[in-house]
Amino acid sequence: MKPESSTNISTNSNQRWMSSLFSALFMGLGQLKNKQYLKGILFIIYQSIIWFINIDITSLVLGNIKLPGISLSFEPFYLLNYLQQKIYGVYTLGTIPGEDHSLFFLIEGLVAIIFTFILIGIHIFNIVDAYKNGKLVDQGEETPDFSKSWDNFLEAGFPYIGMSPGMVVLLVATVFPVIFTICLAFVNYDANHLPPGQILSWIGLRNFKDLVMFTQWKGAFVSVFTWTVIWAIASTILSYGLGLFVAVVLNHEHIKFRNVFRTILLVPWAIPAFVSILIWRYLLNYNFGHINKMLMLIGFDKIQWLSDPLYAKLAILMVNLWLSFPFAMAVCSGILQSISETLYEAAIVDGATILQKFFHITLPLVVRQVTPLLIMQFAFQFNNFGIIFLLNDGGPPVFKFSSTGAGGTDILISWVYKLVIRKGLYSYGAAISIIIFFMIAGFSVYQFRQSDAFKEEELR
Amino acid sequence: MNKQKKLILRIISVLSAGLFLVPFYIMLINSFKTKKQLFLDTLGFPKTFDFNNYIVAWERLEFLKVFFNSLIITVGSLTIVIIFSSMAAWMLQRTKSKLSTFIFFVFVASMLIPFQAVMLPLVRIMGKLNLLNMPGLIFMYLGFQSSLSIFLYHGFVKGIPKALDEAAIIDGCNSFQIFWYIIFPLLKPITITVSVLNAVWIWNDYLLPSLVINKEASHTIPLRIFFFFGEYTKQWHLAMAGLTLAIIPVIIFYFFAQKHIIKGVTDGSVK
Repeated sequence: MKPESSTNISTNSNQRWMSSLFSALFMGLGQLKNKQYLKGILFIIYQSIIWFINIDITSLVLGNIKLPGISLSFEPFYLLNYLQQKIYGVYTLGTIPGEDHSLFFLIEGLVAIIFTFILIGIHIFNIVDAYKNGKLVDQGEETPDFSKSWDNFLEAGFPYIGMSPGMVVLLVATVFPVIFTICLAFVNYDANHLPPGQILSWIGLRNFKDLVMFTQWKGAFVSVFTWTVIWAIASTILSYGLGLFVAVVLNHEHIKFRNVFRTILLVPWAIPAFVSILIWRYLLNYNFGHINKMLMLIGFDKIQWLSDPLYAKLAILMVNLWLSFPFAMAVCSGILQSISETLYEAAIVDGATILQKFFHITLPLVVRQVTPLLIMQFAFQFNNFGIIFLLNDGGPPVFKFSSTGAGGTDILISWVYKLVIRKGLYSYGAAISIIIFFMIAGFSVYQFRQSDAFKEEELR
Repeated sequence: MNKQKKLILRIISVLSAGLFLVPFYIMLINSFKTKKQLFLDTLGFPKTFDFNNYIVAWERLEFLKVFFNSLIITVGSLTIVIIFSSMAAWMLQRTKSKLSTFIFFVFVASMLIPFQAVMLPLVRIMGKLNLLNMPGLIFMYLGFQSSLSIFLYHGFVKGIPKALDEAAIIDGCNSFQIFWYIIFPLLKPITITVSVLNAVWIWNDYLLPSLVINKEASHTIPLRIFFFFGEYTKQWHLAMAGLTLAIIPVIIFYFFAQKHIIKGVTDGSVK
């Protein structure tokens, strides 16, 4: 840096704007104007290929071996036309029934949109680069030569290059399917409109409207939604209530073999949930399950654990409590051990009883630390597909909602699964997914705002 | 506290711990009974220990094969997830720019998306890419598991002073060397946590393999067990033996890595 150069900016020197304009017109021109010839030529070659060359992937046949090859031909604006055509396909979703597959139109169109954004991003990068180097020229400095700017690029870009494989996976596995699901919620993709036989069309908010307007759908939606909320709240509170209780008991110094108990209580957590749930399905069986047998032994009637709507709900809450409280207990005992002994000693000096110690020392401290976890647990239970699906398949079936497929213990996410996989009502499934997503996102954003991780992010 | 009270407390805890394990007790004892015995007496101890059920279940499950399938998928996904997410978290944390904040936010936000909501498009896209097989499954686990892992690593990397990176640069390390020889060894505690959380999840996952794997030869343990359980609903003695077989590897792992598991779970949740 020459210190005097910054004061020497001539007022009529506008290299930065000129080279930005040049680069905006055609990539690389701005770099040429900044006297960065090699870089400029590379950009020009890139831009020419994008604009004027048709790249076709063909296969070269050499004897018996097929090799992938590339054929190039001169065709102005081939790629741009192609992208435009694909993006237009998102709007029409095909025109010829039986030939145009609307879903592939959607997928290809979305890919084209993402690709277009990448192209635009590269172009913007080019303009910014021209502006920056133009500014150097304005300040009377030398623009860096090619090897130096290549090094700069690598240094600044290294983290992003390193992350790119993960970004690609994230894009393919999460971001793209999410966009796709959102699109599905606004088209009429159901059992009557199955591509490629029929062309799908955009229908705006009609799927959402159906869910809250049609009598049967409305009833099913309200009932499933209510049960989902009750289920999530009840199972969270039950598991942490029992978990805290057991943790407090085990934390008591008079209990011997504490660690043995802790290990035993963590066994259900270690056992694959699908195995435990299948065992429970067997135990809850009406005719030969052990629970009914035991009930009969002590003189009660058998109970329809899996086919009566109310008992099915109780049973599923009970099994889930059994599955989830060990985790809550492990968390709570971790917190308990971090509470300083001196607090309790002081309380004893003041003559506090066991209950007073619990309610005035233990409980407030545990609750404060555990609140974010409660919200996380709530969000998890809200979408706890596994237990609902494996224990009772969301059943028992409810007669008045028969056409919607919603069962007595179905939560929103298992209902989505049924709608999509069994009933072929893809758009309704997508619409409900979006509702679920907003619920979960709301809770999580609230929680992240509370937690330290994001506060630091925002501060920096 | 007097002796009587202590005794009562102890009895209660032993009883509740016992009651807690009843389902496994039932599974275990019934796996040794013949079909007839199981029908007559479901709660009692088996009169003879008959390993025949296990032999039959072992063969019908093709246990060795599905075990290795599960092992390959779990170890493969775990390795990729750990290498990638630790590196990404380090880079994201050390690079302070709007873009890196945005990328981190996208990763964190993708934790919120319920899998069932995206599974159908995902399977379609994967089908189009010809990835409905074991490599595709590992690829998808990278996509789904890396967000939580990055989140955990990111919190941990914050605690590693940047001066270490700078000292290494002065000594002439390139970025890859800094990460591999300096940062990664320091990440060991969180790596254990991340491995345990991911390994347990991937090993036990049923839904994703059920959608992705359609060749019987590449079934995982949960997948095969579920089919097996459905097929043998009238032959509980075989079903129970199959379930017991499925648990054994997990129990072995659990007793070896118990300390790490409990620590991993509690750490993973508190952070």
